[in-house]
Parts: sequence; C-alpha cells; structure tokens
Amino acid sequence: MALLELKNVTKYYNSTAPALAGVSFAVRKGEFVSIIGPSGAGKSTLLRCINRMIEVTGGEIYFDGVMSSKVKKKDLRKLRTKIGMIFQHYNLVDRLTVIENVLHGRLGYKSTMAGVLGRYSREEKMQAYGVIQFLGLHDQVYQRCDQLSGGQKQRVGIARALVQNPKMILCDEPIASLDPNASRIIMDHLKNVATQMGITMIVNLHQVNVALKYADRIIGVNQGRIVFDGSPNELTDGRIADIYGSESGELIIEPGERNAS
Amino acid sequence: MQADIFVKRRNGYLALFFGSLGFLTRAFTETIDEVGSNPVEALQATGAGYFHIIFQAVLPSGMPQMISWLLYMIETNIRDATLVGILTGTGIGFSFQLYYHRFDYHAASLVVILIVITVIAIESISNMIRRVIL
Repeated sequence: MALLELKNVTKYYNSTAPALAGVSFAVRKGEFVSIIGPSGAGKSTLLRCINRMIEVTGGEIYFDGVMSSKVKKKDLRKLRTKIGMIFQHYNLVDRLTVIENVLHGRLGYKSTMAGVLGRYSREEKMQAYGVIQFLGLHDQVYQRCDQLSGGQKQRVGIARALVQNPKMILCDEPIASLDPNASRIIMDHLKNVATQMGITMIVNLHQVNVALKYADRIIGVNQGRIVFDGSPNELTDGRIADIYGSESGELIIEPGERNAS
Repeated sequence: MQADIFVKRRNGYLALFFGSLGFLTRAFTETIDEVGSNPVEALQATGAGYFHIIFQAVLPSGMPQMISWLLYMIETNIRDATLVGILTGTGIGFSFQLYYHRFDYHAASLVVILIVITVIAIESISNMIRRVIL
C-alpha cells in the first residue's frame, strides 16, 4: 500500500490562478522522489500541503492510512512527528548548539512542560548523539549553529528530521544554497537515509542533473500541474523542455551527466 | 506634608514607568519580529506546540537583544530620575535643587559628581553584561 497518496489536490492562494490544480500521485515506502519544475510552479506549496503547513483548498491527502487533510489539531501534531522536513535556509535556531537544535526534533513527542523546559530523556539524548555521529558532526556537538558552514548546518537539519523517527522526509530545495561539494555530501546522506533506513524522501530540486543522478522517480511540475511522472530514464530532453517551458533550449542543463559517475 | 512627598514620589515613578513600558513594548515587538519565521516554521513541522516554539525558538533567538534593550532602559531611567527629581521635588534631583538655591555650590557640585559617577558605573556594568550575552 502507498505510504502517501494525493488525490486531486487543489490550492488557491487567490481566486484567479491555482497554485496547485488537481495534483494526484502516490508514493511507496522507501522511495526517493524528486520534484522538479520552474520557480513558482508550486513545488514548495505541494510539499507544504503534505504536512499541512499550508491548508489545501480541495482534494484529499492520505498519509500512512490517515486522511491528513481532515485531522484535528492534536492529531495534526502527531502526524507531523512522522514527517520530517528539511529547508533551503536550514531554519535552525542559530544561537543554540547543534545538540539542542537536533533535540528540537523530539518536541512533537513531548508534553508542554517538558518541551518548554527542554527536558529530554537519556534515550533521546543518546539517539540524537547517534544521529549526529552518523552524519559526521561529532566534533561540533556543543558548537553554536551560527559558527557552522552551510553544509554542516544542513546536516544538522537532516539530524533534526531523523530524531523524529519519521516515515517520510520532505526536503525543500536542500542544496540550493550550497556549493557543489557540500551539495554532493548532503544528497549522498539523503540517499543513504532512504536506502538504509527505508524512509521515504520527497525532494524539491532546481538541479535537473542532481535529480537524474539520485532519484528513483521524478515528478515534473509546471503551473500547479504534474506534467511528468516517471523514472529518470524516461526523462528525455523533450520532456525537460515540457516541464520548464519553451525557452528550455537555452537552459543550463546537461542530461548527459546521468551517465557520468 | 508627609503624604505630599509620597504623592510626589509616586508621580515621578509613574512618569518613568509608563515611558519605559511603552518603549520596551515597542522594542520587544521589533526584536521578536526580527527572529523571523524560519525557525518557527521548522519547529511547527516537527509537531512542536505553541509554547514549545516560543520557549525553544523565539526566546533563545531574541533574549540577548531583549536584555540589551532592558539594560538601555535602566541606564536611561537612572539619568532621567535626576530630572524627574528636580521636577517633582524628590530624590537626588531635590537635593541638587536645594543646595543650588541655597548657593551651597560645593554640596551641589558634589551631587552632580555623584550623578556622573553613578551613570558611568551603570553604563560600564551594562556594557560588560552586553559583551557576555551578545
């Protein structure tokens, strides 16, 4: 059975043009899905509708057998603990240390008082430390996050998502502000998480060649509609042109890289 | 006469209180705005509740700036207290006025020197705290 299923999801920010128009797809457990498309196509909106950071206007979203578009406030918190999220600008609390930021991932499981006071159990701390070690940040555990490099900050972001014990992680342009080397490290980590831990990944990307290299499946979005849904092998130059519009002949895309490395 | 001095003191207190209250409210609002929505969004996505987000994201980010504003307000109030004292006839301002009008310039200048020393001391203490927290 599909872990995540979207049926005819529609979102209007204003009454004129839809941000999402009848989006339907299903994602299996452990799948690495990449969403590509031009800026403003609705990629971020689509991602945020899944964990209801944005409320949909119409349609149904099923996650893990629950109709997520209907759940009430308390259950919504429980639902969100099962969905990690990674952001382009990392969205860490810069003044806090790495370990404190990672432990924020546990807040969804905590009572109001324990969370406010930041009281975490020994198991939670051990788990957070384990995840930090897995991501190669063990030298920075007590460092403040404003002293880290972009790649390290993004790894903290991944760690925060992982300590949630999520079934799925949503990544909103995780490598858009990183240099090529840090981008590769982050994408390798995301791929590892998907294959080793069986966590479903949905990754918004701007770089078509990165999507081709890492994704099991690519979804192309343009003007709020899905215009492509298939494996990387099926994504020809012609289909890329469909996704990005008519001027794509001038785009800096090198699909030839799919055969490299 | 005894009751009179209490009324004067209370008026001076209230003048400083409402000035500070208005100013600090505005300064704290700006500080919280500056924290931005990014960490808030991230914590919401983990399933954290409203108070979790305030205490784990907004306050840790904004607290140093807020304390800085608070220290600034303490400095300002200590300086202003002199003036308010002259106007309401209480405190150090009253002492200054009294000696000044009695042409006792030695004592009056001692009061002025004391005020200057106090202000400098308070400012250097608050600058020290600022260096530690920021």
